[in-house]
This record gives sequence, structure tokens and C-alpha cells, in this order.
Amino acid sequence: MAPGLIWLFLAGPVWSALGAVFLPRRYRTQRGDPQLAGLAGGLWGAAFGPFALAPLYASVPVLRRGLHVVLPAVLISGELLLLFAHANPGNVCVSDPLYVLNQVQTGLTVGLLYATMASGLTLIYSVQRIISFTHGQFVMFGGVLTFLLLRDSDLNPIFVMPVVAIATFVLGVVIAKVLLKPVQAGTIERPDEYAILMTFGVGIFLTYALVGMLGNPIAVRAARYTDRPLFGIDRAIFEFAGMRMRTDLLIAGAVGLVIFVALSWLLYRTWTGRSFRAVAMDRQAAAVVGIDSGAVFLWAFGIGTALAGLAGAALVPAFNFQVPEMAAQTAIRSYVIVVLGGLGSLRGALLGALFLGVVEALTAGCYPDPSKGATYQVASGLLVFLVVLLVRPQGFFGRADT
Amino acid sequence: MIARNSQWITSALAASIAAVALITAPTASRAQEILLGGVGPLSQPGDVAGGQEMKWAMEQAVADLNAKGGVMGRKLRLNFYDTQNKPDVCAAIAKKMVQDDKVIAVVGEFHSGCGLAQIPTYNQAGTPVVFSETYNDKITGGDPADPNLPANPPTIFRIAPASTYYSNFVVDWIVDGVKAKKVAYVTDTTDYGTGAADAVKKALAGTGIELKQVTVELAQPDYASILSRLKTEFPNADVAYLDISETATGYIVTQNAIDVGLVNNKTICVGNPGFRDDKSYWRAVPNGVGCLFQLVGLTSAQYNEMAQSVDKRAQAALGHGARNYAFEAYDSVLLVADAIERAKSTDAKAIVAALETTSLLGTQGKYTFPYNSKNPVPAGKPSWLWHQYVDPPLQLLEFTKKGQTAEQAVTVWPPSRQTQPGKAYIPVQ
Repeated sequence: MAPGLIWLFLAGPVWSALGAVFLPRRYRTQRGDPQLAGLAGGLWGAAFGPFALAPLYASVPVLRRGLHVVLPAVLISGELLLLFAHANPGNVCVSDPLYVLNQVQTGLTVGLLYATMASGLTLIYSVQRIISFTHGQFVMFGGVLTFLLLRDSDLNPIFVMPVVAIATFVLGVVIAKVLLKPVQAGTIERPDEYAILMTFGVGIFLTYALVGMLGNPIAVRAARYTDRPLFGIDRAIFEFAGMRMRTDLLIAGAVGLVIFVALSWLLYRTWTGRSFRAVAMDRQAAAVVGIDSGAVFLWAFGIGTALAGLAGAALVPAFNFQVPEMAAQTAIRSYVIVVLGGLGSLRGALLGALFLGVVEALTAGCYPDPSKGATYQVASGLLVFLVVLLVRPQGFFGRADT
Repeated sequence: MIARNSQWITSALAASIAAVALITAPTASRAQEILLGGVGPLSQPGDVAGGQEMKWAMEQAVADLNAKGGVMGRKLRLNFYDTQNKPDVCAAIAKKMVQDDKVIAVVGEFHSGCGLAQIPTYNQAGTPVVFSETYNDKITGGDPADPNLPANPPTIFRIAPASTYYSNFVVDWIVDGVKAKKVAYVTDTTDYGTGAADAVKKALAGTGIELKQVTVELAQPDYASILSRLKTEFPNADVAYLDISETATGYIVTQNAIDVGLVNNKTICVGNPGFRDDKSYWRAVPNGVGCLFQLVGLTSAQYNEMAQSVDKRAQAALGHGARNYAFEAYDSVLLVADAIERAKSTDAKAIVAALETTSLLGTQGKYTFPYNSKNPVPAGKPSWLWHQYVDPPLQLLEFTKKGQTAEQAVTVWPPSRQTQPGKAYIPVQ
């Protein structure tokens, strides 16, 4: 019998569903607390079917995240990899581990860039509890502005980033102050819907303003980091341990990491960051201790959009920006990452972004039909997103109430 | 007093007549105009730059013809519609032009999928069409699997090269020019791409050349993963043929192919006609020295007087010389006008009959449609030859130096036009 069929009978999705349904019931009657039981039952069921579920059902042990969630997840991944290798022995991902490493490296680097894109959205959501539908447009705006600033100068892209950050910050503050004031002031009955509609409208306006400014929709690619080298880094490709890496992509990833670290420092090591987190936790309580939530609102939106602009500025020397498609592509990925990682969690956004980057890279790189792999690249990230949400609706690090 | 009154009445009458004449004059003169429908993409996901330039060229052609007195003494008027490269929009626009505008003929279109979506309407209405930049074989060859696209469509003409002809051109270079043994072929998922993939596969069948094909989606920011995979699974290709229908995506694919090492000093890259926009090319593909691009059309040294005039006006109006699709769009208007003039009629059947006997010098050469209702495509020959301009100018050019303009690029194929005779590829450092 084929290994795949064996897995389906003795483990796999059927036993996963049974474990997810029946183990919590057992825990509810025996321990009174079914927390983690559904997840553990689903994962161990998928990993080893009745051979894992039976002992759990019988002994009802205290469930620990590491042993009962992370371990079976790793085992399932291994099983699926073995099944894949058996079904596709000629696949390059099976026969060439260095190639897989290269794809993972690419995925992690691209993931860092995705994390930068998503960090602004995470900040805005965590403070304001609104999903900004202008996010993709601000990433695109940052990229286009960088392209325009570099077009007539010899500067390295890194030097124009502060200008882009300030420009998008000002734009963000103006939008928040003028258009989102009812949300901040609490004068509107349905603030969430209002914010969505308003940011959606601004996003469309910004998109076509950029298209109009550029003349027609085009592909925009700014001068590369290695075209205007700093510290003598001018090689577009460098090879290390058999892996071929694009220098511009690595530099963009490094810039993204710096931005991410700077944001984390701001949020967790400064008074400003503490005030953001206080307002995020409880606006009224924050007001009681003297934090002006209106000012925090503006600063958070401004910094969030500045981060989006900076992400665009970091990306455009490494990637081509198709205007206006880039807006939608970055927005979709940002929303997926923010929800995947847990709404409002910066750590979750980073993990979600790296995860998404690797999933996309491996899909394009390993799917049996290369053409379909390229097509399914974006869809694979969304599929994983759906699966994670089904299993853990609050994302990797979100709170259960979000 | 009576004289004063009659003077007043006469003046009032004259003024009324003048007013009526002024109001009705446009309507009256419009009724005399010959209305052409123009189609092309002016918004994404269509190739907007291409569509805009085609529209400009058609307007130039209409203006040039009207300056010479029009057609049959009547002015031409162009209604241009944005087909957006969305099949549902394309089909709707075809219906609008046929049912509402009642155009005499239709010219243009950039995207094959869009053209195919329009054809059923034109077939049903009997509207003469000269497609100027749609390559898919099915435009004139029909699709046996689709009853809405019969073979030998009676009113459909095409002046761009068909996919098979276009692909065979590059294949001829691959087989006879550089004598490649392994070809990596990347195209897109559009109707153009799928048609081209089939055409290349068929053309290389039986030649002994190893072929690996991959299709990609348009308008993605990066293609390094899939190209890296292609390089790993199919190493040491002699040619990387990057046949992407949309210019901006073509640039991205080419630079990514260079970045991941699919294109290197042993693997020749062949791109798409969009490389002709050398400013955009070098900006998006800074490492693109040694890449070849197909040129549908002529270099400026090969232009006739008419082409030189259009090109000069394009420089002034658009900031760059006219591209092949602009010349084709221009010529498509000339062809319809010539047919109406020779038919001495705006009747659709008369125009089609006249188109079939065309012998007209345009900007791109002398147009004829040798396979038609009087001379059907013989058995054994491809069906796309029906109502097809069989000698569209095609060349392969190579950028041999960084920053080179398209005009400075070196012609490497066909042998009759090679800049350096006998050199089908010029190695670069």
C-alpha cells in the first residue's frame, strides 16, 4: 500500500478531526479545562492517529505547549516531507538539499521585508484597533518617492529613506487628523466600518494619484544598493557555501531588520512606546494617568504609515514595483501576516512574515509542476493562513479575545 | 415704418437660419463622417503604454487621411475604446461599437485574449476588422474547440505576426543561428503565452533540442524563486528564451534571470520587443548586456518616408520614436481607408472584398492578404494564414554594450539583415 494511503488511514486529517473534537470533551469531563486539548488532539491525531490519541484519551495528562503542540507539529511536517519525497523522488527539493537551503534563505530574506511592511499595520491596529486599507498604497508611495528621488541623484538608496519616512509620516498624520478624527474622538456610531471605508477611499485616491503622477502604470525600479555602493559592496550576487544570494535583497532585508528592531525599541524601551501600549490596552485607563490618547492616535498612525513608506523605500531598490498592482500585493501579504502573527503582536508579525516568506519560496521552488508552483505561490500563503486561523484563530501570538 | 419692420423681420429670419445651421451643422457633418472603432488597452491589466501609443498612431492616421480629403470625400472619425485586456470588457465594447456606434470597421487591439473575446461579435455582425497587434494563431486561424471562433473568420484580418510565425522566427535562430542544444523557455499564463508555448514546442519538436518550459503570472514583483528552480532543474541551457507578453514583467523576469544565474556568459537571453524601450530597459535590467530582443518592425535606418514622418511626430509627441505597434496601428487605419476607397462603399461585404485584394505600401512594408475567400489556405498549411499579412518585418537585435539604444543594437537575425554577416550572436564580457 502506498505510504500516502497508509498515512491517511492511520493518521492524517480524519484522525486529526476526531482528536480535535473528542479530546476536548474528555478534558472537559475529566479536568474541567479543555484549553489546548483541541489543538493537541488535532495535531497528535494527524501525526500518529489512534496510537497517540488513545494514550492521551486514557491518561488525560496536563497539556504543555512544547510537548503537545510544537512537537506534533514538527512531526507532521516531517511526515509530510517524507510523503512528498516518496511521491516526487525526482523533485529538485528532494535531490538537492543545497537548493532547498537556498530557497529557505530567499524566503527568510523576503520574509524580513514582509515583516517591515506589516509592522506599520501592526502598530496602527494595536493602538487604534483599525485596519488601515491605505497600507499597501503607502508602501507603494514610499517606493515611488524613493525612485523619483534617486532618479536624478547619485545617492545610495539608504540616504533618501529619512526623507521618505518624514514625507509618509506627515501624510499619515494629515489623514489621521482630518479624515479619521471621528474615530479617534469617538463621535461616530460605527467607527470600525467608518475607518475601513475612509481608508479604502484614501487608498484608491492615492493609487490613482500616483498613477497620474507617473504618467501611466509602469514598473518602477530604483537604482540598486549595489549600483551606488556603500562600504565597497558593489557585487550584485555573492556566493556563500554554495548558495547564491542577491546582495540587494540581503541589504533590503538588513534595512528591514534594523527598522523592525528600532520599532521594538521604541515600543518597549521608550516612554512614547509605553504610552502607545497603554492606550492599546485601555484607552480610558491611559487617560486617567494623563496620556493624551488623541496625540497617541496621531503619532501611531503617522509612525505606522512612515513604516509602510520605509518598507517601500527599502524594497524598491531590490524589487520592481508594478504600479498600481504593488499596492494590492503588499496589502494582502501585510494583512495575512498581521492576522497570522496575532493582531497587535510585533513578535507575531515577524514570525508570521518569516513563515509566509518561506512557504511562498518553497511552494514556488518545490511544487511538482514549476509553472503551477509559481502560480500557487501567493495562494499557498493564504492557504496556510486559513489553516492557522482554523486551528488557532488568534494567530501565533495574539490574545484569544482578538 | 413698414420698411423698418420688414428689415427687422429679414434680419430675424437670417439670424434664425444661421442659428439653425450652426446647431445642425455638426450633426449634418457627422452624418457624413465614416466612423471607425479603435480598440486597445488604456488601463491595467492591459499594456497601457502600448495602448496609448496605438491610440495616438490611429489618431495620426485619421488626421493624415482627413488632411488629404478623407475617404470618398468624407472625413474619418475614430471612436477609441479602452479594452483593458479584460475579456468581458472587450466583448462588451465590441457589442457597443457594433450595436450602438454602428462603426464601419474596427482596427487595433494589443492583447490576443481581448481580440479573441471580440471576434464572435464581429463575426455575427459581419464587421470588418484589422487586428494590428494580436499574435495568437486563433485570431485568424480559429479554434476547433470553440464554436465561437470558427476557422476562416470572414471579416477578420491581421497584420501582426501570428504566434507560430513569431516563435518560429526565434526557433529558426535557435536551430540555425546559434545551433543550441538546450533551451529554457519562460512565458506567461495569458492567451498569448499559452499560444506561444504551444508554438515553440511544436516548432522544436523533431529538432533534437531539449526544451524546458515554465509559465509565470504577470505583474509579480519577483520571479527569482521560479527562475532559480529552472536553473537548478535545467542547468547549462544554451538559450533562455524569456517570452513575456507584458513589457514591465518581461524586464523583471530578465533581470531576475540574470540575478539567479539562469542567464550568464554561456546562456544567451532572448527577451521581448519591449526591450526596444531602451531607457526603461536599462533602468530595469541594468545587467542586460548581451540580451537579445525580437523586433517586430524595422530599425530607423530601414524606415520609408511614411514611417519616418510618423516616427518624427512620435518623438515630438511621445518623447520617443514610434514602436512597431504604433506603426501597425497607423497602417491598420490606412488599410481600412484604402479598402473603403477602392470599394467605393462603406458596405461591410464590399470592404472585406476590397481588403482581400489589398496591395498597399504602409509604414511597415507592402501589405497583401494572399490567403482569402478567392485563394483559401491549402490543406497542410496552417490555418492562421487566412487573412494574414504574411511578411511582417521581424528581426533579432542584441544589446552589445551597456546603455546602448535600440537603434545602436546589432541585428543578429535574419541572416539577410545581420549587422555583422555570419554572426548570429556576439559574445560580450
